[in-house]
Amino acid sequence: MKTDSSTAIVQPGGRPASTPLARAATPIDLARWMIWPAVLFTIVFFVVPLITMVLVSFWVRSGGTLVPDWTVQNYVKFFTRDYLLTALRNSIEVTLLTTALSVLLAYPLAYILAFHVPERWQKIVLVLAVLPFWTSYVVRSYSWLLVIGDNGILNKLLLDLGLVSEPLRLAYTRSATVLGFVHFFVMLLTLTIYANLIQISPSYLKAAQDLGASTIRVIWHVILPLSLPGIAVGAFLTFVITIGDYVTPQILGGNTEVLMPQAIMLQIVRTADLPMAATLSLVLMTFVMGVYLIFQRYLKMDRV
Amino acid sequence: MTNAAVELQDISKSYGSVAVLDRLSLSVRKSEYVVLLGPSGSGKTTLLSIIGGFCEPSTGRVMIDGADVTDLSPAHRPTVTVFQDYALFPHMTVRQNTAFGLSMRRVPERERTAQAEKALEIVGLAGFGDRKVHQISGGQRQRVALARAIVIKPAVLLLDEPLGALDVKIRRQMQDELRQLQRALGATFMHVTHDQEEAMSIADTILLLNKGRVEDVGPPERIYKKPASLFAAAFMGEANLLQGRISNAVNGSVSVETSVGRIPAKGAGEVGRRVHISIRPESIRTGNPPEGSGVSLGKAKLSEFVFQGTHKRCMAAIGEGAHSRLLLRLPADSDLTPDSSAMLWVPAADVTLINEDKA
Amino acid sequence: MRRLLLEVPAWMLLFAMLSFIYLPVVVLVLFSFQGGDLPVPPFDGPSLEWYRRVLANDRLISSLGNSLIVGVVSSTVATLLGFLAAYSMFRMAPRAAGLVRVLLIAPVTVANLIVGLGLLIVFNLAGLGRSLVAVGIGHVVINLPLCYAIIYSQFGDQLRNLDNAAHDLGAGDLATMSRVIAPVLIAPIVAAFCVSFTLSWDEFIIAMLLSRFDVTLPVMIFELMRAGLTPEVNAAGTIVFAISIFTAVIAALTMLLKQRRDS
Repeated sequence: MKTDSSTAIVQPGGRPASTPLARAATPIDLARWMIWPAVLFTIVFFVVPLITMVLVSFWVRSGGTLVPDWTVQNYVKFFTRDYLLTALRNSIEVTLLTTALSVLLAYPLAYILAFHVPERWQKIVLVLAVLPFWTSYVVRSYSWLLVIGDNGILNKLLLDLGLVSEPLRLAYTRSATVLGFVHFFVMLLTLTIYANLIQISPSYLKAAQDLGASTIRVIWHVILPLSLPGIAVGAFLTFVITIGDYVTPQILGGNTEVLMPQAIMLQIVRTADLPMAATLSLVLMTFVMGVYLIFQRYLKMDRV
Repeated sequence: MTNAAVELQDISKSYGSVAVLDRLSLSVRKSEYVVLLGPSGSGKTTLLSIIGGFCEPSTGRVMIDGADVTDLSPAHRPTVTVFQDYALFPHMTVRQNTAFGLSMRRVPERERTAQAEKALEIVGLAGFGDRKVHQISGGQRQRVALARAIVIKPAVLLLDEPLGALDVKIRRQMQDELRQLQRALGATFMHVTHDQEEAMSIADTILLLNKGRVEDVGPPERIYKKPASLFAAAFMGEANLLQGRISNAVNGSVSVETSVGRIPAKGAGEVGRRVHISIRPESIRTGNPPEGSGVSLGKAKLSEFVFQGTHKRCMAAIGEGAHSRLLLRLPADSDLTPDSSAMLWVPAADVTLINEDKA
Repeated sequence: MRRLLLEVPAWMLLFAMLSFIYLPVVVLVLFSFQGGDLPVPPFDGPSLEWYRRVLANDRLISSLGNSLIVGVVSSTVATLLGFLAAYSMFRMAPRAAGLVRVLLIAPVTVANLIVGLGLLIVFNLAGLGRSLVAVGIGHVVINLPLCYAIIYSQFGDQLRNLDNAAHDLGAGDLATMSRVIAPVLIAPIVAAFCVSFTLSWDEFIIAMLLSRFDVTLPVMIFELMRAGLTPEVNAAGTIVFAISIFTAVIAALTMLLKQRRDS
């Protein structure tokens, strides 16, 4: 019955320890292999497509099929066609504007949350401030259309109040696109900046005040520098997400101007020119990579 | 060879350029209660990890019951470790925790429950089987950790500072219980602690570690009374360490010239070598020594009396120009007072020669 | 540490910001109950007409089902792979870990558009058409890093002790993972699943690129929008909003309950 286990106690003469009693037969070092499903999946469905994309960017679409011509034709096209270079420039401008505005609006909000709202309410107000995050991205952009459209609430209000005589053209403009972006990122950045601010030890602030600093100076000399890393990370995140987004400029910006994601989609949907789409994507990716490399010294990404 | 429950051959462990253990070898007899004692940073926990299989030694072999287990993982070694924070599985009941090892050995449920209950009874937790881990106290968790370990009847039980998190009163009680448990099971216990009082209460053998090396090995009484090194003398309790030089050496006895005068001691060494003499405070007596067996230390002026319950601590200024200071433990009912003088002597057997010259 | 700024302007600013944030949501939900034909003022009495239309829209309902299936399946895969990867990394020597970590996190650094395009090209070349399966794969790619990160962040010293104890008592890796690690980490695992589901549920560009006839809900709503702005879109959007919040609440409650039980 249990004779095996009872002989495990101290034995005279000793028996080899490596033949233990009825152990489970599972191999011990399975942990090493468990990384492989995730790694293989990422390689097959992420790395391979990326590499393929690089290769395909040197192909050409002609006669309805992809022809592996191995030419830099697409890249030449990008740098010589006005509207494509403009798309990149538009993207950069919109993204920079969005990032700046989002940070400028989110910071005070996060600040008020962290330092003015009583502690008990902070989490609840934070959740409230972030709740609209959960409307679908598509739906949210659509909702802004309703607000700023010619017949929308905003114009109706302005008309009713007599401030304007005819509806303001707000929708389908660059401003609308930026508005849509900023709305999303203010929520995101409020979250991240708030998390950053509450980590600042109150003793820093007390010490500063104790030494005679006014409120403004406390903010400028103590709070701002300490929260700068958090802002930098948030701003970078905003930049990267915005420049690659298709939905917001498409819905809110209409066709007034074309941004890179829209240019890429045009290649896919309209002309089915996958090589060109690949080229544009790589240009975009390279640009983002360049920005990252320039700024990585200032960004301390948390360990994962 | 095969009489050793645990044998370490030339074990070293380095992290980068930092050497935690330095060519350590030891041998533990079966059914012994061994305490690995040392200050933090001495490598005692690392040593335990190596024996348990959680840490690979940089060099050396680990033998358990005569077999080389160096390349075996913890699951395959006949050791079980009781961790410092107990590591009880929070989502399981006390009984499920206790029976875990049996469950891994495919013991059928009824038998598992019976053996788990028996183990819980042994550690004094009968009836606690259905409680959840977060519902029991620290001391009780410690017992569950013990029950979980003993139920699979390991050859060697490793305990990593098991009593560190407990209150003093419970600690004393647990020390006794651990002792009894070890006797009852007949297994080999290896117990890590930094508390030398704990070590002396429990151990059959103390392994004193310092900076990755073994300073001293032996029964508590021997290590205390006859420490092998300066470190051992200072670590095991309070000691009066007198520097001196050997002036005479013959037939296993030496004379050592110290600031307190010439002191005879058992031991060997060349004349002229610098050594230390160790005398425990409680060994020093007042008055005149009886004929032959006592070593007179001379006249001393006493001061700084502190009542400690079982004894009175005081300092004695003694020797040339009264520059040397000795620590004394006078009996609690001594009628000596501060600023009084007394003759001091110590039994010859309580003088220990330490062949070290502190840098 | 309070009262660094004047009170009143601070609260006014807070109110203004919250109004800005909620404006589109309010408009969305309000006009989903629109009586008239247009999702713009004036608001004609609450009516469930558009919800009725939504529920009667077969294609829309089926797209909702598709979103659910894609969400659940892709999240399950992402969470499972992420958990296995996290445990493996936890046990792995630091040397190899750096490179693997970069690989696993990499998809986060690339825009969804590009992830989708890459898959589109590859499937195209391989002769595999677009389908919900392709969408699911795309979603696993973008969610796997997050699931991994969420679960890995919960591996600490305490868990290492439990892992050691389990092995010490004779458990193999499989038994340790299933009997000890997974139960202890159940809260972050559920949270990872919920985050993954929410992101998949809401995801547009990959779904649009890789689906064909069967589409997911965001794509469907996009199609509806292109057809014209009607309160039907509002109704659909509000439903989406409600489901997303529901999932997010579950994730939050799970973590909260776990915290409460731990203390």
